[in-house]
Amino acid sequence: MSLIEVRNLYFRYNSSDRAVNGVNLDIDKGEFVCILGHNGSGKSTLAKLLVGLLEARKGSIKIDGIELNEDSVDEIRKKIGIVFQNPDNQFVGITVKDDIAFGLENRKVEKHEMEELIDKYSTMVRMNEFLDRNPEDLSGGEKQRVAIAGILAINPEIIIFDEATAMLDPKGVGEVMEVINSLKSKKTIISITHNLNEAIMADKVIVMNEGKVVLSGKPNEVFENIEILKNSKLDILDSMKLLEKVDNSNINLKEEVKTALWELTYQK
Amino acid sequence: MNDRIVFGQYINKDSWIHRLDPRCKIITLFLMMIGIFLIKNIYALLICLGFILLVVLTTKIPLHKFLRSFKMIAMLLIFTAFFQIVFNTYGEIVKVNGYDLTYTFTLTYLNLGIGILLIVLYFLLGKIFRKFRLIQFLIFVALIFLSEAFILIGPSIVSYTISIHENGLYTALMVLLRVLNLITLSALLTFTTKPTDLNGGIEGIFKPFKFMRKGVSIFAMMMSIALRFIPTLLNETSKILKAQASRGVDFNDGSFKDKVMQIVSLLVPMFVISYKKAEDLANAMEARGYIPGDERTRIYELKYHISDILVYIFLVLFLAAIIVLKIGGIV
Amino acid sequence: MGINLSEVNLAYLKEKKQYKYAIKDINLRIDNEDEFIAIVGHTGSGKSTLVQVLNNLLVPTFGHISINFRENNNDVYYNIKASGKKVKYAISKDNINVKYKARVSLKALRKHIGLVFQFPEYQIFEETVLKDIMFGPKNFLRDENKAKEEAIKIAEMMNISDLLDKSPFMLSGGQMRKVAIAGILASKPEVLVLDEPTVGLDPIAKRDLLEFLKYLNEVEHKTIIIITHDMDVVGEYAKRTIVLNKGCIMYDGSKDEMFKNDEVIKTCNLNYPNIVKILANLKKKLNIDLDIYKYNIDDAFKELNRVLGDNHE
Repeated sequence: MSLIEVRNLYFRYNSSDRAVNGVNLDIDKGEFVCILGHNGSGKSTLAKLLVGLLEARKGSIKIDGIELNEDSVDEIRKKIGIVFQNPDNQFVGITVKDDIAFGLENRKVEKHEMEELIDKYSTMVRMNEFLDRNPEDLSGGEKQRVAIAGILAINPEIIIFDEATAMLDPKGVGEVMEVINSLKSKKTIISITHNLNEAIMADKVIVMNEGKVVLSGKPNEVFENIEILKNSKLDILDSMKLLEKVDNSNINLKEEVKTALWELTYQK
Repeated sequence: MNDRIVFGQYINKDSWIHRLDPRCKIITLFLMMIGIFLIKNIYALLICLGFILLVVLTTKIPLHKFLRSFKMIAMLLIFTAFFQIVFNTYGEIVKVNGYDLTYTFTLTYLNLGIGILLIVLYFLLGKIFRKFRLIQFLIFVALIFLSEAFILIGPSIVSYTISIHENGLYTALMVLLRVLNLITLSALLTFTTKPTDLNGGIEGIFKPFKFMRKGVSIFAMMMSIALRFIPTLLNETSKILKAQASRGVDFNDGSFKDKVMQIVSLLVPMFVISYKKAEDLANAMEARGYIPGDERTRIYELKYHISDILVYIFLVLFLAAIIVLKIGGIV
Repeated sequence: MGINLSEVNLAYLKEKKQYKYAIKDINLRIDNEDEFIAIVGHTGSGKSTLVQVLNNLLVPTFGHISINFRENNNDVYYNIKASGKKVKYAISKDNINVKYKARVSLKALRKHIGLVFQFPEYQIFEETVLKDIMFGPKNFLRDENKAKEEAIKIAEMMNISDLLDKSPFMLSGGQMRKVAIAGILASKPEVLVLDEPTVGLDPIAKRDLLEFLKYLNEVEHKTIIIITHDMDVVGEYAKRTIVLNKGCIMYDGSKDEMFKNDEVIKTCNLNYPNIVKILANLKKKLNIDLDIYKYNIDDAFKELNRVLGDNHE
């Protein structure tokens, strides 16, 4: 049985044409899954459905064998955490410590236990020296790391990163990606992005377009379907573009160049 | 660049008052205020003020910060005192060295002119010398009255007498002292307590009252989010101001209609951004398991220390003293 | 047109008369109309401060700024001289008899240098796209009909004519950003400054926007200045790069020279564009003599063809 089972999921906003139109998903425990799609492809809506922030019109979501509904939503939120795109808008606490504590306070964890957990997870994301800082004094990358610590403290099995690096500078992206990479194998990770570079490292890639899953599989399997990727308004990697050109040309050492480019695409 | 926007009046120093439990500070302040309202004796009020000022000295906060908090209501105080002195005609007329404190003022055409001239001068002076406006104002008012008392040349328009009565003087002094007491007390609280602690303190005080816990915990969460987002929103406002300034918004010129448009051009983005932030925040809070009104544990548990208990003992003694003196008819 | 900054500093007074410099000793000259400048550097290196100083949204603490544009067939000079707390302004027609004053409205300067902030939400407020685009020119020109004319013209140029009657709040992120840019362009600035214009856009919208900036630069002869972290953008679009580090200009010159300058790349922790990385890798792996400083797929492929092509043998 998969950890996350999504069956025939439908959702539509009242005010816009963004939607999820019949999504089926299976994600196993410990997998690193990347959901790719352009803005408006329904990938963020799917994430909100998974954590119960939106209610599906049709279909079912099962997490760890529990069906998501109004009664089980609190239970399920202990198993699944989400880091959103905007670092500033998800910072609830007045200090870093407050913010990491927020989720724990909601779950009625005792004070001494909270102190231990905050210490442990702030060290893990390397924010332990900033515990008394206010959010205005932190960079975007630092805020996102605090958000991750806040989620880790609750010890969920699944963490969703909903374009968590989209608003960061390269330094921030690096810091956050480092933390995410260190979590691989420990947690089930769903990373939502439109960056194909991130997807290459995933165990499984899911491509969404117009609210549907159009491709799903291992990165190299998915990336072979260049036409579908292009139709999904995704920007294929430069090395893949070059590969395509070389393929249609008659230059010397063609096979060597192709192998080299192929290796470049997947060895990152 | 991030200019840290300091919110609230908190002044970061390390003193015993800073370290007191916020609940203790809030309760003490509140009950002392009620106590002070009950006192109707000037000497008792003076003693209170003296005592509070002594406490102020132990906070290591420079005195001028306290003076600045008086400044805001100084005008109001002076007017209240002025009207009490001039219009309260109860009691005897105050005598100094056997003379009644009664003055006659005459408004003549000449000193009407002088008065208008002085008012113009006052506003002109404001263009050059911006400091001490309150003192400047008082000096000019005094000058107008002096001119009406001594420069009595030419035909008069109206003549009037002001006499100072005991009761007026007494009431004026009492109002003054009472307000000074109250302001110093509340300044003491806000200067030595972080807004977040104040918030936590209020929540802590109401915690034992089961029937209102839900409302209080929601209110406390709202306050804490407001405190968290005020600096952010100020920051956003300055960005919006700049963005619109680069589209030619200039608050220094334009007609009334333009001005309205310019204000709208700031308010709408402000509203849109706040709404977006609120939506994101609500999602993040919900996803992290926040249920409004539900019981939560707190990372900052409030704990009473010896000093808090001592303050409470003092408070009880203070209130008891007032009640006893009140019954005895002394205050 | 000409922008000239000499020894410009902007400092915030910290406690106890300690200054914290946001930008320090900036000497900068921009006087070529066809420039496409990318300003790069860490967050907090002073990029945003620098462009806001250009636009007179921030007043420098020390230094001299002289900016001139043609207005009604006259060369008009805007001068700002700052020395500590004293800032003096001047607007003159010839820059010879400059009369400095304590206060002068430099609003007209902002008409010439348009600044687009990172998020369109900061400026969009009207009920229709047309009205929103008109807002800027209405403020500068004080003529409703002319403003409308300009707005329609710009919308046509940007291919957003079909949006004019819609509410700007119902648009997608990419469209909203276009409307924000149109709102600045409608005032006809000679210089367009954009603060991280591509953040948060998906690849298609990003390319679309950058191609439009390229068109503005090459066909409409507008000077474009962008702040960006994205080296692919720098590589493919910029003609000149300015690297800021800790408030100082560390490098000012062509992008080729910048990418070849190891010291700059290392100190500021800059990335190489993707294609440069790919070509460098190919060069190493296949042991061929490639010029790796190519910034788009076509050029890169041509370079491969040049070295490995059939006809070459």
